[in-house]
Amino acid sequence: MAQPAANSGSFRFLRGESLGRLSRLELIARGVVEGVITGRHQSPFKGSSAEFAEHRQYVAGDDLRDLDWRVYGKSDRYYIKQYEEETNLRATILLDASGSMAYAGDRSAPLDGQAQSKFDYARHLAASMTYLLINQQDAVGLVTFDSKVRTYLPPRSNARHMRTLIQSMDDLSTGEETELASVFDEIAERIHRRGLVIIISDLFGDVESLVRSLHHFRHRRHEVVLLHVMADEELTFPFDKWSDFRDLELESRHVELDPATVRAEYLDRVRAHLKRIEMACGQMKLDYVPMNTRVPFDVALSGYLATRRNQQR
Amino acid sequence: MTFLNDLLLLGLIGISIPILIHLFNRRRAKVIEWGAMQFLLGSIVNRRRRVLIEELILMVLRCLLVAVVVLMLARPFAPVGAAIGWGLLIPGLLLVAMLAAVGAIVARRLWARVAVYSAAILLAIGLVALSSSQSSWHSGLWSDDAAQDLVVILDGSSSMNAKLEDRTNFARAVNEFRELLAELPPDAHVSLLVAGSTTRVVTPVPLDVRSDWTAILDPLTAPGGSFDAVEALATAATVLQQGDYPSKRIVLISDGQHLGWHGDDPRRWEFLKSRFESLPTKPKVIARFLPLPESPRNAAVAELSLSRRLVAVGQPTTLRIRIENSGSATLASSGLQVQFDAGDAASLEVPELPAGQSTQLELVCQFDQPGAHVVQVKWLGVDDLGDDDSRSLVVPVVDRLPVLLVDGSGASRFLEQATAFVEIALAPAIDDVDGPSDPSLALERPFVEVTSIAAADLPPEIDFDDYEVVMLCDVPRLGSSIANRLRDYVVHGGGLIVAPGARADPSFYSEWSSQDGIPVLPGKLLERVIVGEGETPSRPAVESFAHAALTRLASAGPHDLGRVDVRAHWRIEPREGGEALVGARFDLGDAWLVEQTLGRGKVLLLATALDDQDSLLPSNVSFLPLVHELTYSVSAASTIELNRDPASILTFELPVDPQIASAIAGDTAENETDSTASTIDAGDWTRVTPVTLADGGRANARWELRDGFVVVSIAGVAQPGVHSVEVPALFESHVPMRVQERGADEDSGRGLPVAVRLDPRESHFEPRDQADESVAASHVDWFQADDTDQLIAAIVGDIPGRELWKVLAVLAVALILAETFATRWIARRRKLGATEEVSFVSEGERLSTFKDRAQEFLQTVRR
Repeated sequence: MAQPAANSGSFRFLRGESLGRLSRLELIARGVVEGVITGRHQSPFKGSSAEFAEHRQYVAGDDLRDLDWRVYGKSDRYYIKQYEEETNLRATILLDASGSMAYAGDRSAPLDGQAQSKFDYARHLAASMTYLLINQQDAVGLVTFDSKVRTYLPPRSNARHMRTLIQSMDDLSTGEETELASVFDEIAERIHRRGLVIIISDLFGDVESLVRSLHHFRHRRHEVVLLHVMADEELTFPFDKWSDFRDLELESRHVELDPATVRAEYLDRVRAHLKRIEMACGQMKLDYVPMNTRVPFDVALSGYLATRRNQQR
Repeated sequence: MTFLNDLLLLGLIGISIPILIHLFNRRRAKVIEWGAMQFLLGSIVNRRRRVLIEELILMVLRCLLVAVVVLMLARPFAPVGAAIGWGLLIPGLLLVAMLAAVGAIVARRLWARVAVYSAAILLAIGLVALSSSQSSWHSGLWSDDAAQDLVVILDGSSSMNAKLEDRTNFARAVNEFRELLAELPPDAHVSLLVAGSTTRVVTPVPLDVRSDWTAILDPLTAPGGSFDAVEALATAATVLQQGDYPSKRIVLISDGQHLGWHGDDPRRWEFLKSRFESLPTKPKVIARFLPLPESPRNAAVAELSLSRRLVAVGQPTTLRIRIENSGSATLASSGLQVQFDAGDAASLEVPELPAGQSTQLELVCQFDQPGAHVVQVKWLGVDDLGDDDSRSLVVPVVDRLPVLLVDGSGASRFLEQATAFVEIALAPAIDDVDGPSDPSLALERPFVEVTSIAAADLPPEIDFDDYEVVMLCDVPRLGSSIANRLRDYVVHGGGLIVAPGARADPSFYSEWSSQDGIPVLPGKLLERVIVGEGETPSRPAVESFAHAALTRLASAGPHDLGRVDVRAHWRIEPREGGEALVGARFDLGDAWLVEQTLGRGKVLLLATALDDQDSLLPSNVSFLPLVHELTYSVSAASTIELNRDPASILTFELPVDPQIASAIAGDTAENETDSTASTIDAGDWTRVTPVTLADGGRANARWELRDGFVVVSIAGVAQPGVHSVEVPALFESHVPMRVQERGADEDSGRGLPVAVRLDPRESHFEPRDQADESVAASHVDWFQADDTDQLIAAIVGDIPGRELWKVLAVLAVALILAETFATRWIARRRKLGATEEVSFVSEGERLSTFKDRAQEFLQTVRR
């Protein structure tokens, strides 16, 4: 095993562990989550259940938010509302494994001294979220897809399941063309109980059908977090030499050109694409999180979590 | 066109530099595994055409820049008169650069590229080869032969005397010649020719530049007349034949007036070409054309003529003067002087004359002495060209015109004779004629001396030479001896009028022919056409009048020739082959008057007799002038034409009568007493007499006996003006001698005056046309120098022309600017270097803010 990533101080907590039993991905996720995200603070993700069971007497330390103020008004006693099945959160992580996710670029935040692809970045995000959620006793499922659903692991909350998930992510490699809309529609149909849907993707493809399928999640009353992963090169198109761009999704497709000639037009198109997504997310009240691979994923993730926690406070 | 540093043309390979850079960049394309293909492909679809155009523009500019710089360094040179101009070569080579550029950008497939580059390379090789072949052509044309025979022709025509900014073109031509002399190598042999109507060799032997040219050039003047390019060049060829050097050149300095270039007559140029080719080496002709006046002021006495061919003493005649404004400005009215011989002068007023217009003035005059009178008309205004302001006319005036009338009627009563009315018309009794209102013009005696004789009374040995005109009036036939004598009389210049009536024997007239079998009459008498009672008689058709006598009569004023009732006439079949001129017809188409020239004389055949039997013509008012005009028109006295167009040799033929023949015979063989005209052989007798030219110069006239005539040949009298030919004593009574001014010296100006006319076209400053230019260039080795420098350069061996590198340098700078501008413009369009980035942070936050927040969060966690 390689040395833990030295660029982030958060991995120092992993030293001394018996590393052999854990996969590299899990280690990183664990390091990130334990060191950076949870700490002494609460997770920003909360489970809830609508099924009310009974009242019980308030004891010190109970959350005042659970006090049933109506009972107090009637009986002058403090009662806490108890729900029938205090279930935890059911989260499903949708991890994009399409060919375009394999793009690494020179500017991405290096991991172990190597540039990481968008897919690596996404896997780390997914693993960290999995770790985080399962540690909170929440159930986490995983769907990986390219043009179709490749793996579907329904949400569970045990540690063993976490291992399975992370192993599954670890084994994964990028595949074919992206076909987000149909895949999302299919997944929205499969997840019956409402919960948290975390999409990690570069969101390439037809933006309108993508927006339509996001609506589908909202319609099912899922809470959706959209982690939009893009490489810095894709956002700035910094090339200046004559180049042969080869499509990561379709091997036969490539184009030779002087990048300078199309840069402005390219950026306009990217800008329009992003704006459309961002606008749609705003309308649907989705959590839209742009993630540039240049920013180390732990920084980006903790930044996002901090923001989300602030919003919930 | 050629290149002075032609090896540097190899630098054209440099056009491939931008292309290779372009192709190398492509080949070196960095492979990028790319995910966001959807944006890239979309962008390309939109931009592809535009990018292609931008790349094309840049590549063309860069290739052109390389090509232009290379061409500039190769020092292109455009010699004057190059067969392949720079307008073909330079753009051709730039086209190569453009082809290469287009090929690099547009041709994607290998075969297309190979095709385009092959075409470009072939074109380049072709053009460079063309330029190098040109270069050898030029070096052949402009070989630097210091030792050369050079003939300089100065156009000395009248138009060269036109003043242009206070100097004549002739003075300019002399000046250019002086400048040329100053530059010539010392061993060049130079001959000078001045070409007016004839070409005069000013330097009998070739001179070198150290000779005393000042003495030759200072008094040199343009002799005037019309320039003849072919003749001048042929004379130059003759002069060159004597030269010692193999290199031969002819310099021609002229004003390039159209007249005299014979663009429409390539045969003359063919002759010149063969003349040039007969020289040891073909001479090169370097022409220098001085500018013709662009807006000249010029009046010309364009035409001078008399109303009649034959003028008798005391007979009033009209002098017609046509004044033409050949310039481009209106001429104010001015005076005109008409000088008769050296004495009397009359003045006329020429009205205001707009540009391009002419006016005709008339003056009635009469001459009181027989002989040759000289009338000089001089326009008194001021204009640019003086040579055509005056014009002279020689008027031969006779004091008597002996006419023989032969009556065929056999009638004894005068009025029944066929000659009666003609006799009355020709020689009226003085009392019968209403004289002119001016008593001084009244006739003292009849000018025409009529002898009338019946045909039957003609003596067999009759000498017709005593008469100027013989008229056969209704003569049935003549005896063969008389017929032969009359025929010979006509052949030697006599005039014959035949007016057959009812008595005429058509078989005699049909068979009457010369020794060569040529019919004496211009037509055959076929049959008599007689108008019966009640039928409409024939009338002469005025519109058919073609004979000079009739047209003169018809144009002089009202006449009644169209109302003559003709009751009988001969149907005439005019001779075929264009020999006979049908001078007039009847209204039904039959010929009335047919004329032909026979030998030196004229025969006029009428379809009717001139009595009152065939027609009522004698009762018409026009009868009298008609008879006179017809008589004059065939008269032998007018056979010597003393007003001539310029020619290098002027000739006259004088008929030899027995009196002269015997005199000549006596002159030739003093001891042979029995010599007759028939025994004189051609070449036995010649005389040379001096000719006093109009400008005071001298020439010679050669008188020699040839075929029964004395032929007078005068050389060197081609310039306009009146020249006097001294006449041998035995001819003095046979030619119109110049009339002496009263009291003048007996010997001065005596002789036969000959007026040489100036071609009226000389007054028009019409430049050479396309045909003139091409005919000259296609027949001789021709170079046209645009200025004196080019002229000198062409002679001393430099190649005249200009270098073009400055033009290309300017072009290169322009291309650099264009390339810079295009690059900037394209960069701006592509938003190269623009810092505008895609915003990719949540909630519109800047990434840095986001990072700061994350850091802050981490700090909190660590605490």
